[in-house]
Amino acid sequence: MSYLDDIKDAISDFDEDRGRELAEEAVDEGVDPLDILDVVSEELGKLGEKFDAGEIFLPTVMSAADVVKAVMDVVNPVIEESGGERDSEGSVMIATVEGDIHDIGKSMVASMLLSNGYDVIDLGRDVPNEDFLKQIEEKMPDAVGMSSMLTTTMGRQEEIVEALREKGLKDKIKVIVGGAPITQSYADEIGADGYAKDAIEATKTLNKILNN
Amino acid sequence: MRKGVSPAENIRLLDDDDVREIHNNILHIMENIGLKLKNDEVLEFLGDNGCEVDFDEQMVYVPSYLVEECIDSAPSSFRLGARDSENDVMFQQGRSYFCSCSGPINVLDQEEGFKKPEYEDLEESIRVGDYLENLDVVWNQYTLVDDELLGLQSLKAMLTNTTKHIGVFNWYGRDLVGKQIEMLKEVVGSEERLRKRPPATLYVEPASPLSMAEEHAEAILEWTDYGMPVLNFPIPFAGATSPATIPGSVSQALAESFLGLVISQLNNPGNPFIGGTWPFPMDLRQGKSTYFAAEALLIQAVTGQMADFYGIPVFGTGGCTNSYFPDAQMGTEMAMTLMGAFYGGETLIHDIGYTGAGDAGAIENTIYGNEIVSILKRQAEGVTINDETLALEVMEDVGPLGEYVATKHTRDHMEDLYFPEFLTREKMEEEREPDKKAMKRVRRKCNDILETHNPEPVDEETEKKLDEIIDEASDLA
Ligand code: B12
Repeated sequence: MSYLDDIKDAISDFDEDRGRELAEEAVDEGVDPLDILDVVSEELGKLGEKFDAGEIFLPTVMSAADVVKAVMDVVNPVIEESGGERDSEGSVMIATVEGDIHDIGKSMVASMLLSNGYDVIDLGRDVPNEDFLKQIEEKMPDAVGMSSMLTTTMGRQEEIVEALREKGLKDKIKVIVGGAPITQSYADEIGADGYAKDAIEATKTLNKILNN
Repeated sequence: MRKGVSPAENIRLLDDDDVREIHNNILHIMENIGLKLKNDEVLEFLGDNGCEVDFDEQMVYVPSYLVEECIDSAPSSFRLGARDSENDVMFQQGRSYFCSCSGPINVLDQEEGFKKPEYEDLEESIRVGDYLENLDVVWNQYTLVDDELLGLQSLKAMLTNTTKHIGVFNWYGRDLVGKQIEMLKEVVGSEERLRKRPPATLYVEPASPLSMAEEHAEAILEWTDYGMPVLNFPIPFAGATSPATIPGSVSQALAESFLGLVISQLNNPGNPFIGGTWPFPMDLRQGKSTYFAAEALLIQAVTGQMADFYGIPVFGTGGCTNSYFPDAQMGTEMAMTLMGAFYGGETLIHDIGYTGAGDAGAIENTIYGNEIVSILKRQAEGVTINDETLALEVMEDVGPLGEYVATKHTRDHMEDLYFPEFLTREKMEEEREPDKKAMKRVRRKCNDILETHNPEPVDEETEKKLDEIIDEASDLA
């Protein structure tokens, strides 16, 4: 039991290295990786709620999310290897679109989704359509999130949706969009499944469209 | 000729040692931590000129002596040209100049709400900027949403709707900037005129922390080939993309800004350069970018003081607000950011008219901001002490229980006083009349300007040429 408590402490101390080490040791000692996952998700979920309520600041959530990510990186492969079923809300691949280097908002959305139990694959910023589509086809996430902050780059979102449609993936993968120039009506227009104006809403929207 | 204005006294927060510490911090960042520059051609250029470069990592490290040389070679004063030479700006560090905001993708009409900008809205915002006496430099207040050739359309709108100096955004790098230069040349007549009285300043933003996009680096090279002024202004969010502490954040920002200085000076020694740093930390409680924060007044003063130390003009932010309404928040934030930038000693004070934290531009706010600047200019006159202003004689004449209204002394000095256009007292008796609000007066003024103010147009031939250049460029988008 103490490993789990120690991991919780590593999260509240924002100690990424210790989180990783503890996770490795715990797995070696035979602690059930699913238990570890439960504990870290629960911790992060609590922080997310407090952030929602305005009780704690963003750096606290983001720093804790870094520790959780380090722990997950150790634990997830072990679970997958043993054929175990993780209790995930689903997987989301997220990126800032081609030609756009604004990534602060996108990274916040990624952290919030992570803290709400999603598996997040963050491709970064200024991701060429071609690479984005290749990654989507390879990993087949449950949902794709696209961020654009410039009026000159929002068209990339439409192009990706269109390409998914052409590849017959549009029904299999949900699309959620966001960024300063994006609106609900733009999302509707290009055929995205969801839109959110900020990171907190992003989780709610995604929960809704994935029926979680 | 527009000559700028400086406050009666600057706010100074640092002593000499503090300034040195920040300076050394900047040198250390540039030489040892380095900056990411995603453009091999520009990296090669910098490598050939004495910087250490790492092509694999796309990093550049600028030795301190070189940074110092570039600081020395950058001019502290230069001329900004304008279509009408009366509007040329004698631009110098140590004085302040004011400029409308640029960029937002929404028009905010304080009575009607949001709408998407059309080309006519760009034109209107520029005409208003042209009219407002306190704006030395004019920019289109919005960007078009559906147009891929943003830089060129905005430039055309500016060239045809104001006779003042203008600012241009870089959107796509060297090719587009090349077209922008072609358009400018068309309007001023020759390359020599471009160099002598550059009609536009190029605006680029490095990305915090410590990196510059590919298109920006090459645009600076292209632009400074013509000796025109360039402005490299980072938007660090203290606590998110720069250190949460002010000295660290300002050091990082100036290092980012100075990468533009180094590129411009190495390419064309003595090229006009404007640096600076964004003064608003991120709201770490909400995770939002803001256009007002209490710390702005500290950051603006530190930046202004560093500008003094370097003798390099800096871009500042004032007259903007997080509010989406014509309300108390708007008035407070606009005034405080303008005061912070002005008393802090920032040089080109931009952002007048941004509303909703940059989500929209409002020309009514710009007009209101013009009045705040008038008030700052009144303060800048300071107080003169002499027998006439100490006024003993008139006091003797008037004596106890007398009055000053009808004296010569008052008549002689009444025009020293500033009479506001919008911030007036409107007596209301039985009930409060919304129609007498300051922002209603602003609104009427706005309608008035749009109806009556038509700046000297460019001739038809030139306008046709501009359209041709834009047409030819359509494949650049
Ligand atoms: C910071 C900033 C920059 C930084 C970016 C640094 C970085 N690492 O990201 C720098 C300095 C590099 C930059 C550069 C430029 N910028 Co800029 N920038 C901004 C600024 C001030 C804030 C953006 C931000 O980070 N906000 C904070 C985050 C937390 O909020 P957010 O991004 O909106 O994200 C939230 C939501 O939108 C949503 N969300 C975001 N993504 C997603 C995705 C999904 C799937 C979902 C569901 C939700 C979601 O959730 C997020 C969290 O709550 C905005 C102003 C504004 N009002 O947005 C201008 C702004 C976006 N930039 C603008 C411009 C013009 C530029 C430049 C072209 C300027 C230039 N010539 O140099 C360059 C473009 C470079 C490029 N090729 O991309 C304009 C855009 C105008 C337009 N027509 O589109 C803006 C609007 C400023 C303005 N008013 O003029 N910029």
